[in-house]
Amino acid sequence: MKHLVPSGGNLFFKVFFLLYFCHIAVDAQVVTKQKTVTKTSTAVLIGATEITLDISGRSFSDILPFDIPFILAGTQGVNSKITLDKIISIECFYKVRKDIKNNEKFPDPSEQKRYQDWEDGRMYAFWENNGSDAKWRLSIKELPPNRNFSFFFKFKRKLSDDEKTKLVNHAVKIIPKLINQKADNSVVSLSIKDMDEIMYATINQLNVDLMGSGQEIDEIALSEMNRKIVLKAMEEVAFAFEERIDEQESISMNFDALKGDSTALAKFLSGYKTSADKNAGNVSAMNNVVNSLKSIFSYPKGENAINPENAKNYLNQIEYVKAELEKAQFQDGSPFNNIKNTFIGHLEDLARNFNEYIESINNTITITNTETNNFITAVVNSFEDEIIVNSSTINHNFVTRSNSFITADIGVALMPSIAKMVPYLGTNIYLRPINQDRPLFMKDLFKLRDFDRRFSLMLGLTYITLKKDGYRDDLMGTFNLITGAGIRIADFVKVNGGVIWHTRLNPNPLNTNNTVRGLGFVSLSIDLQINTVFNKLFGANVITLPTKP
Amino acid sequence: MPFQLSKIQPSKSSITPPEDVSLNFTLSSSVGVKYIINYSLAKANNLYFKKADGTRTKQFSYEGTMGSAVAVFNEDVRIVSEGPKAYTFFTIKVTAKEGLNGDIKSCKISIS
Repeated sequence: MKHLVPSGGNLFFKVFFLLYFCHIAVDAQVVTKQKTVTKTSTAVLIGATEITLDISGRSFSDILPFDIPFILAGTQGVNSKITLDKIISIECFYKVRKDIKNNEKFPDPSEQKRYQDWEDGRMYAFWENNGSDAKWRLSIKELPPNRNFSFFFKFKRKLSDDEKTKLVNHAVKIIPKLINQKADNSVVSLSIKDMDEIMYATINQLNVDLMGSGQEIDEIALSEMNRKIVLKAMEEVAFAFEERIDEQESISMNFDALKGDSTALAKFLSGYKTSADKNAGNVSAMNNVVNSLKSIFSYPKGENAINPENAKNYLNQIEYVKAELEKAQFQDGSPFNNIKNTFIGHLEDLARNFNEYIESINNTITITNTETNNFITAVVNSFEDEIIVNSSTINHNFVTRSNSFITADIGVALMPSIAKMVPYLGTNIYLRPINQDRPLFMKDLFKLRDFDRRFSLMLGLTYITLKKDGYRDDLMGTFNLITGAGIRIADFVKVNGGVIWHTRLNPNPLNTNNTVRGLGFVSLSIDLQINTVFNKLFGANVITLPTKP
Repeated sequence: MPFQLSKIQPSKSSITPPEDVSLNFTLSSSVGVKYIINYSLAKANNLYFKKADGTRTKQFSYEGTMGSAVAVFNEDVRIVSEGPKAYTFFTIKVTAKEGLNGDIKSCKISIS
């Protein structure tokens, strides 16, 4: 019959753990929950783990590391065609997904309060393009293990000068057409609603033209400031149109006046041709005037009407008619002189109208180009792409996950009760996943937040025999079971305490009913993963995993 | 016999209806020429001229005779709106006519 009787124990072990837990308890009372967002550019961590954002798959290249800061990196925007040089800055908000329940949706980026929802109390990272980085990098603060996360990225981007020019060339054609559609026949009157419609129709049309180019514009992202710039741009274009329309109407009125002059002239000519006062030069000039009037009264319409070259040609026609009229000379008192003077006056008015009209055409073109450039600049300054990427610090592979909970170390245990030291091989079982890449600092030894990263249960085997003839035997062959708990006091050094279990032989040599007894111990151990360090220091295989005792 | 309107210069570039604004411009023609001056607002917008008798109108006009080669105009108009602000700007169109002949100019005023 065997009895499990722990015995021994030691003062050091008890005092150490008593003091340790007392400090932890005090620390627990002063810890307050802090939740702040610091919106400053985060310095890139040198040598940190780097996770790549897979743009097309909206995923990260690996499971997110926990307990250590790391880097999210990439070389593109949210569209593979948006290269690094076109990215101005990236903002990243991230949070634990514990607030997402069942089928509850993630915040929709199109919602008005989308940023606020992500900015309130969430973690934040920021990267700004200084032109020298080979990729964008966001330094992410350490994440807790076993959690799901959502990352909300806002990419601010720009266009190259060439791309912007292309966009302006598109918009220059679209905007006047849309203003024309909205404008009254004679008076341009655009409401805010009209201008909004033109603005969004322009952006939509641009997006259709740009589809697949990676330069689609997110009109929702237009800031209020930029919206004002866009509306002002359309206002200027609309007024330039109106001034051109004014000149066209002035010309139209002068046409009517000239038609009256033409009728009066025709009446005079019919009488003049039959009179004896014929003059070959006058007749020739009059005929030229009458023939040219046909072209004057048939000025092009539609798109051709606003062609400056057509307008200049027309102006030449007016000057020609005027010159021909001035050639015709009649004696004082002739009714022709009144007709001629009125006619020339109206031609001069029309010529002036046409000069102003040509100026207004050019002005419309200039203003449309300038303001479209302003429009596009405002829109381009609002280029923002947003994506949400979900990920996790949970490793779903059992074997891999177990590596986060279990470590192995080698140590030396002191058993004061029998004044012996034994080497042992231990297995440490943590109560939460730990990331051994996270450095432990002595100053945090008594901090509550570090406790579960340091504390582990221990199970192992002593490496040499504790056998004492007639008194004590090893529990399993030449091994003895060692159980206990430990605290990592540094990255790879642990202080442990517990019991080494052995067989206590029955003092009666005829009685084989032995008991299992425990011997208290304290120990120092080092993590087995650093065996390579020792090997490098002292030559090959100073520390090797034991095969057989 | 020229018949020409100058550019219309409003006294304010921005108004909040109801508000007065003065329109300054000149008409060049010959002495003795009879003219009609017409002021109009776009039919489509919700803005009106308010006349002295309190009525609202989209346009008004009056006749005159050129006393000199250049007539100077300083027309005070009161602009009122119906309903909430729906426009960021509007234009006032001035038409001068002499018989069949005429000239048109507009000015732009922002609504603040």
